[in-house]
Amino acid sequence: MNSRMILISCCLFLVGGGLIVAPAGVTARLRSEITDALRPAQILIRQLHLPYAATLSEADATLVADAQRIATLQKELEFERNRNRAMQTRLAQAAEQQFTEQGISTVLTRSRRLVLPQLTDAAVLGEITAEQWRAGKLLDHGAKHGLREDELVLSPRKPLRPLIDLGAEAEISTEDAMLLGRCVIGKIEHVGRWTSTFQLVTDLRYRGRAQIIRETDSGFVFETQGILKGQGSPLCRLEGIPAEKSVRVNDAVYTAERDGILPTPLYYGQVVEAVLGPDDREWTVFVKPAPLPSHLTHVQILRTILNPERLAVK
Amino acid sequence: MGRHLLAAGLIYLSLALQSSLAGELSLSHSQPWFPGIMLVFCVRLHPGSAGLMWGALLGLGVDCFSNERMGVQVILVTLVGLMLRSCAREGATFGSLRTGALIFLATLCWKGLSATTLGLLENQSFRSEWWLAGCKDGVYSATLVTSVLLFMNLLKNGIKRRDETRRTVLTNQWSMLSP
Repeated sequence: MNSRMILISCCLFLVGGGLIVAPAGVTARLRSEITDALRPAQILIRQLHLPYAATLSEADATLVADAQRIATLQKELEFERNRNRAMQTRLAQAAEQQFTEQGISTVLTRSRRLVLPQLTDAAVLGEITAEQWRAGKLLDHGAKHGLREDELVLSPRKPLRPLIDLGAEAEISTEDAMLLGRCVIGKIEHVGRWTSTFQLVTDLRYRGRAQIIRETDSGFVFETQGILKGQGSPLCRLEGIPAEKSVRVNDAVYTAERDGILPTPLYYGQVVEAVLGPDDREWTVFVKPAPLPSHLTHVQILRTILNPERLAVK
Repeated sequence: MGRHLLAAGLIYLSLALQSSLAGELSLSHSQPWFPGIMLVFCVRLHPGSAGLMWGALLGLGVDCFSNERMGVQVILVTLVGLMLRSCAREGATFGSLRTGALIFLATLCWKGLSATTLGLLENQSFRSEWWLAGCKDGVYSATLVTSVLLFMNLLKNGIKRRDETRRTVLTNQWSMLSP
């Protein structure tokens, strides 16, 4: 940097400093003079810019409208996608139910195994019908004819125990699982000649073997087994899960049959609470069973039969 | 003389553009800083001390329409001009990208220093947003000018090529003169 440049820079700094400390009247006059000098160019630029400004504002408005339309369409798309997902879920559930109701029995009866599972449709008797049945009003034959219903089924001490319209005559046995779709909702408690009583999984005396199955990215993982107990409340309790095992909320709980009659486990419900205290040796797990319809009218009874093909005389 | 007239015209145009059009070209809270652009061109036109003086005049114009304390911009633009002068020595060639980089630097330093100085004069504590705004404006201005310069270069090269293809080469074509 040569000396001339330094001198000019210093001069300019001095001019700047002088302007800073200059009286307000002087600076205001200077400001107004320069602003006035700029005005013609400003007016010219604005005049030239006006047509473009209108076009720009139109384009801007179009862009904003397009963006709003896109946002609305995206919302609609998301809504339709959710609806589609719900429909697919319903379709899958319906297909699964259909397979359960028709598929299991028909597929397995073609098996060469000696003992096969079989689903039998049963109707749940309504309260009035059940009361009339227990009172003997519907039976027109007496014990002499050998048509007396089982006492336990007719017992007035258990008036609230619900009934299904199948009994020993339909080869129903105690402990047979009662299904709704592919979900276990209870089991047969006492079998009469024509009717049977049943327990729901939420009943206080219900017990059943269960296992936890977790869905992961790599597929289903079979976790530990335990005993599912009814508590007389909407939630069941899963006992016997050791502390070293892993349990998470939302894990699915399925049946854990040991005899391997069924190809797939049946659904009990979902883990809604899993607690492990510091000194606990077992998990405290609460399971929410599969929801039931408000009026339970039809169920399926899962029972075992001997394979008719194996029994057939050749 | 022609250069001085051009510099005066550019300064006048930049001040008019900044005070009338810059706000409408605003894009996500950043706007082009025409005085910064013109300062770079002034330094290019007058690499010597005249560039600094024209820059100071530009600063005075900015002082007028900024409604801030008068004289601050004159000092700041002198500082930025000195910095740019050290970057652009006399006789040095400028490409589009180098011009863009200088515009970014000029805008960043000018606006950052200006906001910091005025803020500190008003007893405010330092904020990084002042320099961030300068950075955004610098990017906007540099992109704008670089795009225009690149487009002009493209057009110029295209026209040049077309002229070259049209031109008939007569070297070693003596046979064309024979009857």
